[in-house]
Amino acid sequence: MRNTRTHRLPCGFNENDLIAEALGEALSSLSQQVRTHVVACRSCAALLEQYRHLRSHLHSLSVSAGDDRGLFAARHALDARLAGKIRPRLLIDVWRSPVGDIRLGKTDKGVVLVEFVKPEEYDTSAARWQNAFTLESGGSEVADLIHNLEDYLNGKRRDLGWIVDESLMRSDFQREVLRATAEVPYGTVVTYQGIAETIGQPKAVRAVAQALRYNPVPIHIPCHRIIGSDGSLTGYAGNLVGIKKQILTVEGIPVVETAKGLAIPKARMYVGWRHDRWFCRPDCSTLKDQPAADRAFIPSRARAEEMGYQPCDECKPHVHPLA
Amino acid sequence: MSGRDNFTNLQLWCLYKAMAMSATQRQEEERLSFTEVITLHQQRVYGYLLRFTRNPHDAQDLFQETFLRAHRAYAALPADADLRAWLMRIAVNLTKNYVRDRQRRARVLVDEEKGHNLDGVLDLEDAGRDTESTMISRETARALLASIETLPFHQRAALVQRQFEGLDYPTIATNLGCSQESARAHVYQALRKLRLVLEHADSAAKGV
Repeated sequence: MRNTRTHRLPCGFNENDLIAEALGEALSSLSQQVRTHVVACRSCAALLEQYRHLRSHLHSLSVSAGDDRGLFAARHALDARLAGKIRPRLLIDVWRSPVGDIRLGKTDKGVVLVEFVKPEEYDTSAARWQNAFTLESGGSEVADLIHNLEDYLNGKRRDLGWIVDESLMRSDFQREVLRATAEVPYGTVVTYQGIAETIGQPKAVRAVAQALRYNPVPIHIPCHRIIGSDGSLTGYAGNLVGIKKQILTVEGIPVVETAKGLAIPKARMYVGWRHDRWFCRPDCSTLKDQPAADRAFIPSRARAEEMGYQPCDECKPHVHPLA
Repeated sequence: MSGRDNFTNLQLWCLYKAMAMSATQRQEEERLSFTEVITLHQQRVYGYLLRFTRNPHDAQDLFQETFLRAHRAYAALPADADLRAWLMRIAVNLTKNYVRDRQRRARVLVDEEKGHNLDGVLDLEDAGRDTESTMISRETARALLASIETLPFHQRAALVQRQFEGLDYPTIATNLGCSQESARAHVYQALRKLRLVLEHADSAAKGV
């Protein structure tokens, strides 16, 4: 291996070949050549010796990386400086679903965002996430989510099975509310009061409703399964109660138009005891002492039995089914 | 007969698997968060900076600066970019500025103090630790380190990476953005100069 520029010594030998030999970089043929030469040429022998010394001097001068304390200190300081700057990647796409346009967002940690968007607000509403995330077009990962959602809306799938990134949840309270909501099974309905009692804050009904309004992953966290105590759907993601109706219909829950707006026909649905897993007719006498946290509305006997609920001994819904 | 016709089906299958594998690996890397990028490459970057500056404080400053700059450009980086080489290029460029700034500062100091030598440049505490059979005197060490600092930047950077970090020429070449031949030439050029320094130091020692 020769360098492009040669450095001829008085004896005609190339100085670079001596360096290569001293560094141990010479190929065996060159190495042989150098060793033969220095036997005859005393000045080259001295030069080679000097380069060998230089190499070992440099070796002893090399700074050992030693322990990693210096690196740790530097990394620590760097992390502190980057803490305000690092924005996680957000894979994002809009799906024009049968119930309206839905934007889906996924980070490395999981599904972080499901939102209903209007076409004229695509850009402005996406820009909102730019402060917190580095936006990227969704690709196959988000396409998978869309596929899951499509199956769900077609009734082919009851559980989306997603892992959720909770980073858009606003408070511990909201997290608690959403986790309690996630426990409400497919095709059943629970009241806001029920969720408030489940998390041990029976008076925080309105706060629960607000927490659900700002649910960052609706549909997957089924805030549509939470309704008012009188059976009315109240609201959904602000003003989208129509979508709430469509989604509940997909899950087999009847929704009717009443004087006070959309509602479930409470009087025509079974009432489940979530804790002990019974179900009653809505006129059963045992229900007057039922805590709201324990109450679930179930549209049919088949659904109740499917979930493993036993018929109540008192009202015997298996003997006297609802019309 | 062309080389391609000589592949057996098995070889083609292996080749295909290898290609598919490297594609998935690239995708894995695409998904790296910036913190993961730091963790993967911090050792290499810090090692270079420490050996170049020979000063932990400067190395730590430059380390932070390297990754802060990298972070600014990371989003715009092509997905198939060689992250290690890219980060090293940033670090190398920063050491270039570092040398320039020090020289500028040094000139000011020299003017002020009539050639008085600078502190902090040589960290000789470790130099005494002798790992090889040859002993190196304090004076020789000082002379060698001082002349390393006066080397042209590419020679110095190449020498540091070859002799102090033990990197190979292809790697040094990508880090410096030059050809392998140039990388080697830089190292050899540096060594020729340092040998003269060594010879001078030795004869001075004998003369006394």
